[in-house]
Amino acid sequence: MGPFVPDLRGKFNRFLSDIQLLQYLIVFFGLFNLSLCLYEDQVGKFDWRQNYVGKIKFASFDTVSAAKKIIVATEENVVAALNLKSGQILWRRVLEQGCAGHVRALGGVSDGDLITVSGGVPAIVRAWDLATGHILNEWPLAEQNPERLDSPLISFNTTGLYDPERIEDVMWHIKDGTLHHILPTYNGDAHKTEVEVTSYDSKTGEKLKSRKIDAAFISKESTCVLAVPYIACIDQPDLADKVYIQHLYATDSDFQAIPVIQIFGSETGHLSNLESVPGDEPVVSVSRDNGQTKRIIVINTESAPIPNDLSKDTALYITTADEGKVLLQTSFENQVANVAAVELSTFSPIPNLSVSLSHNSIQAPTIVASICPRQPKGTGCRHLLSSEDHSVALLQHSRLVWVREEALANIVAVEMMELPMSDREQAIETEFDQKENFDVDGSWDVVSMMVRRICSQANQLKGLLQAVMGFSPPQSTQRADLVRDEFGLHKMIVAVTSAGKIYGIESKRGEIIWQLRVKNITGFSKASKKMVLYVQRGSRHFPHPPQCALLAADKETGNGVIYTFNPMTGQPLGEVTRLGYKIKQSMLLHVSTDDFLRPIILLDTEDSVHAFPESAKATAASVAKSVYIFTADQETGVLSGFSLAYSTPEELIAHMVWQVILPTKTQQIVDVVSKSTIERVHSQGRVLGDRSVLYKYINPNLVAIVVQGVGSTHKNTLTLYLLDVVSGAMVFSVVHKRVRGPFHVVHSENWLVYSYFNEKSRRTEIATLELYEGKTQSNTTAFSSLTTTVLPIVERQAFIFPASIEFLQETITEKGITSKHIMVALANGGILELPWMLVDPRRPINPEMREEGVIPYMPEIPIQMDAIVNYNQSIARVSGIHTSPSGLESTCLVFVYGLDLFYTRVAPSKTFDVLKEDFDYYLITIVLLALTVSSYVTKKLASRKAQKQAWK
Amino acid sequence: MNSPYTWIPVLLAVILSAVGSELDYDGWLRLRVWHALNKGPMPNFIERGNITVTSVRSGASTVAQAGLKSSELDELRKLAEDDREYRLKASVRGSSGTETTFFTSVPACLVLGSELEDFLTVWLDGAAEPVAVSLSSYGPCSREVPSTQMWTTEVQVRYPEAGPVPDTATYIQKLEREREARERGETKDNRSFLAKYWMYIVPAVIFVLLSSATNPEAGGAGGGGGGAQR
Amino acid sequence: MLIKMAFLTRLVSLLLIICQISSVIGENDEEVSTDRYVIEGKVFPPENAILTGWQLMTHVMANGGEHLGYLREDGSFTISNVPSGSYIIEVVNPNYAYEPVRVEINSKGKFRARKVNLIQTSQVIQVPYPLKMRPFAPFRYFQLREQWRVTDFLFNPMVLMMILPLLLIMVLPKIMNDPETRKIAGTRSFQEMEQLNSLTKYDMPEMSEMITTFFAGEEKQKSKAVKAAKKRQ
Repeated sequence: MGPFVPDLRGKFNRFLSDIQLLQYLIVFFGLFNLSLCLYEDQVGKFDWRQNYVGKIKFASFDTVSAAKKIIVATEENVVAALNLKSGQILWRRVLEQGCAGHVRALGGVSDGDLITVSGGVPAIVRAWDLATGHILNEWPLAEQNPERLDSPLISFNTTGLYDPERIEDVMWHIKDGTLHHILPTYNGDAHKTEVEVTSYDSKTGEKLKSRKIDAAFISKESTCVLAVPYIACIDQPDLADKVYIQHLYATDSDFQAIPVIQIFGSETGHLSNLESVPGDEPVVSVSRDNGQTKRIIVINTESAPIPNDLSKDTALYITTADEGKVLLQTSFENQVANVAAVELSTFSPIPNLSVSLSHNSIQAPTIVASICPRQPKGTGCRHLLSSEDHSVALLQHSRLVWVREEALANIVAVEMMELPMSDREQAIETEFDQKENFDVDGSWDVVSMMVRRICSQANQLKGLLQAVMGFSPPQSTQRADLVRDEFGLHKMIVAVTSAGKIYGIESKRGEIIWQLRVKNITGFSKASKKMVLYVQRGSRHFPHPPQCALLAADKETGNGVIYTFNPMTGQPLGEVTRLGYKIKQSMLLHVSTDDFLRPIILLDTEDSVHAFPESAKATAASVAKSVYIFTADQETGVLSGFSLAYSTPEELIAHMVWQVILPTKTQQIVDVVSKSTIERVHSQGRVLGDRSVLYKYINPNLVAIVVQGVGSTHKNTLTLYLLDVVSGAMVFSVVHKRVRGPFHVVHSENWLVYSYFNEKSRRTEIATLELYEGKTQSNTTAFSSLTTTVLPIVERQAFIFPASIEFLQETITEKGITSKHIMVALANGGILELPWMLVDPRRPINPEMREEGVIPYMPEIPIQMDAIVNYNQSIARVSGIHTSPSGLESTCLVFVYGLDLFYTRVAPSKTFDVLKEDFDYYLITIVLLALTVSSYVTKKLASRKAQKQAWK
Repeated sequence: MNSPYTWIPVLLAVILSAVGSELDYDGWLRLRVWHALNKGPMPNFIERGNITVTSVRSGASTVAQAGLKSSELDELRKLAEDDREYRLKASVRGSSGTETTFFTSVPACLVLGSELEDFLTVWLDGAAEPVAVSLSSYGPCSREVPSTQMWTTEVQVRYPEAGPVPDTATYIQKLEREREARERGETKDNRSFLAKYWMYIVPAVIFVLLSSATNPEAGGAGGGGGGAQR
Repeated sequence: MLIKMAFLTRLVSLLLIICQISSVIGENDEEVSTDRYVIEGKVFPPENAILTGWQLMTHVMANGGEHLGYLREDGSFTISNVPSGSYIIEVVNPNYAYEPVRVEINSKGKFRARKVNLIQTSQVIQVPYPLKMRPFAPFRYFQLREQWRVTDFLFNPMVLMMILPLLLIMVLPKIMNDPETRKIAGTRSFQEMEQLNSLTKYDMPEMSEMITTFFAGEEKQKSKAVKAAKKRQ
């Protein structure tokens, strides 16, 4: 037996390792089960998607195809076809993001083609199939490489082309299958200034001809507009006294010069604001000395100014009706839009084509396309209106057919709010409220209390009886379905858009409940268009209405603007407050005033502090000792921390407590990521394999600063600094070499997950950092940044991610017990629910070092298709994901926005606290009943049998 | 052969490659430190001392600073009584020559509680440029005048750690090993059933033989049909 | 010896410099090169799928949307305006998975297409260019709902737990029952009754006893059976 022993032991070890493998498998399969999986019949049950196109840039009615539609190209780089009757998207093509996809021109629709020009230098010309949206051909606007003409691989030479900035000066004209590329060139020498017109076959890209037209009147400061087939120019604003007009295609024509006197009737003043009037006729409009009026010039061989003053704000469009040219003037006053039609030549009004309408979504509209077909009933026009608030509307025969809320394609801030209580619950609330008042007064009137109690309960009973008997419920101010449900799953999504429009969207079906518009506001910085939305008072403080505050910048001055409103009804609460200073930083205070309103603290560019509302200054001062604000300046790289400790109830004072400077010479701040303020961490530590506890470093003041290297030597580096913004102490920093953006960071609990593109290995990677205090906890009750001096232990790991990432966000739940998942917006339109467990930096490389609930390390994170929460409903160009806890601990609500909107709910640890949607109530009832009945019957039978036996 | 120009390229190359990678070369830092002991939002900085970090990588440093006067100690105590912070301004000059000024602060009571012992941490970025100076003190919080008037300052220099990279090498090795193991396993598995499991079968047979030897009647019980079949 | 050393260092330094110069040139080359290329290929439609409109639902993306290509009616696509570099070409279709391909264009305009291997980036398995993208699987976004089947129901542990004792109660005694005693019709029901009673009286110690007797040998069991038969009578 002796010799067998070692061998047996070896076998036994192998057996053990096999068991370990089995354990992995169990954990792994458990993980698959963990991920949220939908059943096919649950499609659309708790999710919805809405598609948008964005603000209209170019539009054209397609009257050629069998199915009438509207072709649009938008600011969001989208080319789409809209249904004429309903406004629904028939097909949509999303072009490249940013500058590379800017639509420069759209044309050819009247000829049955659809040609778009997009991008920078060289621009890409694409020909689309009008009916189906397939591409027919695409070609770049550059010369094909001469030396490689014979090779099968196509390449283009761009060396002969102009500066990328000049693309803004190029004018495009598409007509009869020809694309004209019109570029004024100035060589500094006034006599050599010319307009270069290059014509291409719009479908094949074949260069047809190139001509140069002398245009000595153009200088570098000139403003030129295209009024096909003419080009019209004026000099720089304070010199212009003539409008120059040149025909582009007639070879031998000379330019026309129209002086001020001919346009405005007097010789004084200079011309400004030269604009081309869109439509079917070469017409330009021009105003004098930036005045409030403008006049139009109808261009032909003998151009004629029309001596009628038009308001500067009137939008113009020229359409053809009954063979005559009609000028449509659109004005907007007192929430009413007027389209006044006049005959272009005579200026006599055409009343049957004039419209006036008022609609909540039509704000300062302009006509982007118009068509007046002759019909048996007489001529009627269809106008496509694009409003200042980005909404699109179709007007047909002076009737509004449909409206699209295209502002939602550009959401900049989102909050999800609990719905208010129902009327009945509010009545109960009032009852208790009044009782409290009595207590305060000290007059204990037992009888009246009793009476009130009985009254309210009688009312409840009445309501119940009415509901049971099927009577109509009593009239209510709120919609019956817009009340809080028992699990808090139904919420109000408050979305702020870059157009300054605010929407209230209920979350169950995505219906827009209300909309508001704040005029003349814009984002704090040009690049990000960011606005800030604060919930000052939630919907749990009846009878005080819930209150949201929107912080933005004034469009003209850049000063701060605060707008408060009721997020449930869309009622403004007070006027728009235009502040006299620029907002540098803002924060919502954690304490509230007596009426449950949380004040906003504002730090202006002069480093002085303000409270909003002003009356909350005393409240703010009472907690000022523990209030810290930090600012980060992207341009100077300076981060500073301020304390409000010296504040008095009369005046809030900020003084600097720390300053960190990231030298801009070598680096640039890309992003500053803090944790969610409503986040709660349930478990303080992590149990290791040897049953000891590793305590998490949970610092709510920790902020991650993402820094990108600049300059030649540091270009492709990513540095991440973890900074405690109260004490100003740096906690950790990590640098990645040879990586580039886009960077996305999620910062939560004691970990960070960030993604970047690895240039060296040419793949997207996700790295995680996890911070631990160690085996002992420094302070078991509360964390203080000022007294904690121990630097955390940082676990780190990187993974390969096999797709491009557009956005990252973590899930959040009410109490933080449920495990965290990361919502990953993929470039292919999917929204992936990635368990954090898969990016856990403690995933052991050596399988022997295993801990509980940790899966062994694999360099690549697999994308499970059943973890794609939006299944085949792709979401184009995600710009943000908002997660919000629901009333259920297991469930997190997810709202994805970008060009499309998508809403769903996820349960990262499965729905452990509520029965599943598909729970079979009937089966369990039937089984229970059957069991009861059968036991009863068998009992009877058994006793009968026993009786029989006894008789025998 | 040992003419000077032969060495120039070497030096050049070293410098060039050093700039390209992460904090590969050593440098020095010179800090001038001021502190404010006054109350009020505007700090009134007075000089505290000079610190020279001779080697960035090792963190070796020399600290030269004067002790606190008793009037200053009193001011510090007053700060601590009001729960105010002790503020510090540090101006750092690195090897590259640019000078940057940083602010940092620490609750005054912690400084008193730790007997004027403090830690000054200088954080560098990947290019060895200073990005932050932070002051910390372990405490505990005390509002008493300490027994000493001299600072005990420890200077630390920290720079970014290299970011993690996906560990593909071990994974590939593992795959490789598994593949080999599988191949080996396949060759071994060609053996017959008996050859593979003889070590389990032999004891079982021995056991059966032994038990049947002690009870010869039970020999037929192995059939296992059960007592029900009579 | 010393001379040799110096020579070596010089060689090394030279090498170093060359490396750096070449890397600098390489970088400059990337920035200066203004040539743009066109990546071409064809996407094949998924089999047995509804063919109308699949071109509209599909597009091709290079490096996660940096450059886009759209499908013609026949599935062919071009991605224009691509500078030299390395690109991962993915076909985006919401219902079908396509394998991505890496296309590398060097500064001289030479194309190479290969399989994407994110773990072993140096491994090259070349694929033909112009690209031919074929679907390899439909996406499975949904879990399959379990369908009710008799076998599933029967092999449910709960059901098994109910059925097995039932079998034990109803069938086992019948097998154990002496066929001879069965023939006496008059006492049959009584016997069954008794038998039922005796079965319900079976509890753990008796069971173990039975097992021990079973292991001990047939002899004893027989006597036991006889005893039981006697008891019955």
